[in-house]
Amino acid sequence: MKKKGQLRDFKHEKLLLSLKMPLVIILLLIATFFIYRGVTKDIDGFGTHEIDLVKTNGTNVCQSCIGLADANLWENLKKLFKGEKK
Amino acid sequence: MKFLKRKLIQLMFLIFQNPFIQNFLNGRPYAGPTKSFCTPGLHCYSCPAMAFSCPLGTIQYIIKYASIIPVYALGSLLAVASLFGSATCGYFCPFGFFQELLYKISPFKTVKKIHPVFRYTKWFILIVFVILMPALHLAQGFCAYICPSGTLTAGIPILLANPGYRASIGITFYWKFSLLIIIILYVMREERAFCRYICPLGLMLGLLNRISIFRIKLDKNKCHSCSVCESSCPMGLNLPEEIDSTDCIKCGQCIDACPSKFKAIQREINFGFASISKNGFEKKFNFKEIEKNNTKTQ
Repeated sequence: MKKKGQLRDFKHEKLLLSLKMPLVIILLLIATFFIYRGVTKDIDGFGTHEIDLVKTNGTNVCQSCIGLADANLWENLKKLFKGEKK
Repeated sequence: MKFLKRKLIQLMFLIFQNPFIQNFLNGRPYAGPTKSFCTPGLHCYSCPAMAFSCPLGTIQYIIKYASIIPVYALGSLLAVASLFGSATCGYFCPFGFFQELLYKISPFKTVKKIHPVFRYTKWFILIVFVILMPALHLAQGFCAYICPSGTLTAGIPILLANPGYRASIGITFYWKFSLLIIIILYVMREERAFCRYICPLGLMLGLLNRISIFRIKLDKNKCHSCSVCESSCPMGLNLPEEIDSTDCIKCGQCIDACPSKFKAIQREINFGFASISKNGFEKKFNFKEIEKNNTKTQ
């Protein structure tokens, strides 16, 4: 039992501190893998990569972003629920 | 002076992200190769001057139209978050900079703490508007119905420059424009209100705040609980308890506010086993001392 004023158990502290760097390295490796997949993986069988979609999307005027896509939310919702019923 | 230093960094990043100002005249977004990269700040990719892509917009677009997990944008965010956490909100985000400037010039600002319940609205917005709505092919929820950066930096300039688009203005634009005005007015009252309650990007980056390499550190032995840091926090966090928490943007205003005789809060590059701060290199595995302190208190 910890007494009042006693510092944290240093064994747990040690464990946390020693885990931090491996965790960051693992996260960075996952990030690198994700980016690599986004750049190299063919997503539609026609040689389109995710990075191509990012660029295409970024170079067009996004109707949603500028508030022109009156996205027919209710119609889309209706379609969605009808589809689910079918 | 320190305040100005951060403002200069923010201005520098704003210019870095928006080098093509001449595009405002023709209202067409830049279409060069840099648009393949996502930046960790809230800034619409349809903004004519913007050189990069917005990660939130990209995530929604890819989920909605390609029906795949947007690994590229998520990977970019993960890399930034594990290195800097949400420090990008404090130094890099153009919309955060805009909010700070608005608050600075505001005649009716108040110093408010973050609302204990509404601070979790961000989770709702992330799950419903950024993930679920595009996944169900309903809409790019956040961009279409909320994003004030899109309305301000893309919607208004593009509509001003292109008369053709003006004919198709509908209820969504009026909704987004009204929301932008409400957000601007509220930001003038409560500092960084958009970041506090709405921004899903800040939430995603802030999730790794405790793990990231760049950290804000509190030395509890030096802290006298004077609460000067608390009143300086632009996010209205309960300091010093919430230093480097998920909502912290690591702007460092608490560091500047901390009385110089205490210097209890510092920036540090934390590797877990060791850290580098203004005090220099420090080994964290000084367990003999901790053990000695423990035996003393016993």
